[in-house]
Amino acid sequence: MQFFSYVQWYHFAYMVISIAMLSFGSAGTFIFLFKKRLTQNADTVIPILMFLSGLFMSLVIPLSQVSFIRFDSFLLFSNQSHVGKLIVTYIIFFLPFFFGAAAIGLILICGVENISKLYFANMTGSGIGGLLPVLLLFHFLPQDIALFISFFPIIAGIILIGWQSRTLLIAGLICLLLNALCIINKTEIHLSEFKGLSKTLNLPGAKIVEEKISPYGLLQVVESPALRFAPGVSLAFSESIPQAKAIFLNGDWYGALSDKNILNYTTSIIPYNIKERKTVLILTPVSGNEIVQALENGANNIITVESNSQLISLIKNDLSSKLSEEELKKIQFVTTSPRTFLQQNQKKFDLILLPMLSTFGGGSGLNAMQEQYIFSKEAFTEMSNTLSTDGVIAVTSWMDYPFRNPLKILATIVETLEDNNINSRQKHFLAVRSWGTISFVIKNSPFTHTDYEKVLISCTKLFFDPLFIPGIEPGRSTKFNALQDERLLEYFEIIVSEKRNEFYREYDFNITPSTDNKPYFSQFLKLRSFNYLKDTFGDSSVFFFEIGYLIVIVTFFQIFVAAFILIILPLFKLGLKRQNLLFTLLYFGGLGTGFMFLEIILIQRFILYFDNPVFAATAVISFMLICSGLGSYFSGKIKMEKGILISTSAIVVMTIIYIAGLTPLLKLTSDLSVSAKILFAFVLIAPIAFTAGIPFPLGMKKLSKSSELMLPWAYGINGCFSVVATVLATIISVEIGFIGVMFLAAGFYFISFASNFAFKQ
Amino acid sequence: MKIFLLISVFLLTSSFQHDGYKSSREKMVKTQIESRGIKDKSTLNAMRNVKRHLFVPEKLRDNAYDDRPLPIGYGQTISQPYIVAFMTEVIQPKKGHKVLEIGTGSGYQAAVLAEIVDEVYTIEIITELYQTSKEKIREQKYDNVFVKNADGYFGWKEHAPFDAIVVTAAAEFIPPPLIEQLKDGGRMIIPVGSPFFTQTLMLVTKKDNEITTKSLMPVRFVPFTRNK
Repeated sequence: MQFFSYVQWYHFAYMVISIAMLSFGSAGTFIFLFKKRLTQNADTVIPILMFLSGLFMSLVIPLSQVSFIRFDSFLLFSNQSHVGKLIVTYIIFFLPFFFGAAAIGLILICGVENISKLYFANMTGSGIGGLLPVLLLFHFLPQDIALFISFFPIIAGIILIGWQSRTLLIAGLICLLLNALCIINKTEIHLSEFKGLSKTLNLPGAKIVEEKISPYGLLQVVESPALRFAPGVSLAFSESIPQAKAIFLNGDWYGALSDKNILNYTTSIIPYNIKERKTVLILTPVSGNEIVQALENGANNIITVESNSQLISLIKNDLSSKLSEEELKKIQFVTTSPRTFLQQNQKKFDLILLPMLSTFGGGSGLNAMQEQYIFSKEAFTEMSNTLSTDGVIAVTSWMDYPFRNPLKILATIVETLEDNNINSRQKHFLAVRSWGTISFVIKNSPFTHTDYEKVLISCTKLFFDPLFIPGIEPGRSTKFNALQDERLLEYFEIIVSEKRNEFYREYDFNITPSTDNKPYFSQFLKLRSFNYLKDTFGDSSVFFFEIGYLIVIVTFFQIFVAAFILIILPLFKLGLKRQNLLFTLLYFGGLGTGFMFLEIILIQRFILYFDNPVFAATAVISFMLICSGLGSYFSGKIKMEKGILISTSAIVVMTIIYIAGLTPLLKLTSDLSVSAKILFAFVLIAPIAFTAGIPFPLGMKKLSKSSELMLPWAYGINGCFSVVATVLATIISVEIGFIGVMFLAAGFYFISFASNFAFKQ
Repeated sequence: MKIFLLISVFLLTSSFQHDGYKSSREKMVKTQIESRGIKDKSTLNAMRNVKRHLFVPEKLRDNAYDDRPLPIGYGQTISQPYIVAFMTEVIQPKKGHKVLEIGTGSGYQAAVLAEIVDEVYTIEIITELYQTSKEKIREQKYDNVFVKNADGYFGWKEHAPFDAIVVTAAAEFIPPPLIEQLKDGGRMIIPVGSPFFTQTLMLVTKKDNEITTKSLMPVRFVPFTRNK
């Protein structure tokens, strides 16, 4: 995923890896279709599958970088040959997973009498396998880690063979040698030529001057005499725009380190023009300029909060070369998540600065599937509770068209004020628009006449247009920066009025404020509007419009079709009248779906808790796999029938308890230290994960006693449903929120529970 | 006799090649440009005259008149025909005008402008693209186009002021030197966004030292209206 995020877009990584994960279902079908031959020759087949898995693990990246295979996601919708290349890439990444899954599947089927121990080993190994790369990502590039990991299945295969077969042993050693050769002959990595980093490196004199790797991705700093940073700078600015170093994260523009601060000529200056801000909180900075701007405007206590320690380190080092000792003493860097800081903080601030929304030109919905808890209504409430008497929150967005970001941020501001019982809401916020950006400023106490005067003076000086200022002359809101579509002003008025909800329903994009339950601020696509958008924007461009969510939908459909085929195919051999067909489908499908729904939702909840997606995913995945592995081991010591019924019903009950109690518990413990939070997360996850490890091995055991032929099909169904569920959980959480997904998780486990009554001995 | 026959066949096939693209060009103007509301005659004529297929990579020649941008290497594109026409019409080019273009790219936009105005000064920062576009412009005999390999941020001071400035490569800021080099009463057009995504064009006008902007509709498509 990290590798693809670097060379392409993260979303295409999602597509490719989803197909790769379907390999578990495919392996099940493969074993089913050739069961007799495979099980009879298991001693030979299993090691060979392991060797192939390891070999292809080392080859995936070199093969995907071969010029006639390498696809470019930017060209997918304009050059059909890239669709073919994408399909080939799917196959390449599918293979190592397929061979590995087939080996595991065969082991489980051949050793079904010891399935509890085997499944325990599988899950625990997976848990460790989830944790290890994250730790390694602090020091090694993703492509190097893939090579390192590729040795494991080969070594496992060699251990399995022992001295039994000299031929196989030699084959294993050859695979090890080939992998070693891959390490020696490093593959040249090619980024899409359309990624920000690629285009920047084409500038004269451009070179990468710094690189840092972490689980967040590859952070690179590029220097070039032609690089400048002045986002949305006023047209009144007549000086030279300073040179800058550009910061890229996984090849995408992230921020800049510039020689001089020009933010005083952007709309972000407005809060400082209204009043001096002594204490400033900067959440998730993209450069050191926000800090310099605060200092230049009189701040003497600046707290900067950012969870990526490497970015903090870059900004710190840059500032230490520009600022005096005295100035540096006024700045404090806090490496934690913004929400955690807000929940733990006791100080009051004159200004809270949020990161800039959207990208230049409005972007293409690339952040649609990213949880952005800092822009939820709950976050705004927490921020407003952290303000001093005349303190303000400021948020800037790039202007987009069709209008989305400015409308949604205004809706969030208005609803937050309403929720906090603030009447005469319009006196508590204002906005200023330039040619490219719009900045909103929100205050707990009403703005005064003097405040408005100061804003108007600033606007005239900098060629900005004010909004929501009472008494301004008609046309003043578009004096310097005319809009071809002046309906923006009309939309603003509607959002502030009581007709807001109707407008949310009618507008072609989703501008309903995000909440902690549905924290996808940048998800604007309404599926029901898709056809209309296609007609308006054309077939080949609509996909770029809100591509983040569209990729998830496309991924879901492709996986659903593939999984459907893989599940149906064996039925031609099995026959529809086979005993316990329904039980197998419902039981194992329910388990696969329920488990993944739970896992995905726990990751989402813990992202807010840790406000660190890498931590959250690592903790949840590792804890769930290790604990369910222990549950699998324990399942060997309990009665089969009772164990199935109790474990599945217990998971249903626990999930419902989690729906009610998880969020309050996490809120209660949000001010714990990171290590205490990790421990608490383990305590929360362990019971349900342990219980979730019991039904699968017991179900396989149950099936083996009456319908042994169905075992590979059961393994395949579980794999297919797991993969489909991963993507489906994401779509459902966008549409109805996390709680909806948790209810569904409980529902699927109930299906597994109930399917036992359809079982025939 | 044989040589005469060979020469005749050669000339016939060459003209057939040009004719083939000529009809594509006509179709492009009719269906992609005129039908979308471009009315300025000089712009329409320029779009008819400039052989777009000669400005795209050879392997993409058959797609030259498609209704989309095409990659030209180095992460750059030749703009969709409609965008080129729209940008041309918006700056209101006339005979006698002097126009600055920032981001020569393929050279196509410069060629279109050269059909209308007296002089086009165009700057490209990527050396390889500069060399290719300069060659193409020279081959097409656009003697009133002057190409420079430099950082477009600084404009082209020696030939300022300009009646119009066309910025083809989107940037997050409008360079102050370009504002300075724009004549009073002049117009600058600059895209906001990426060629593969929806693009909005920004018109910048300078009058009596006051700078005003106007965001224009996404130019690829019909005006976006609310779904009923």
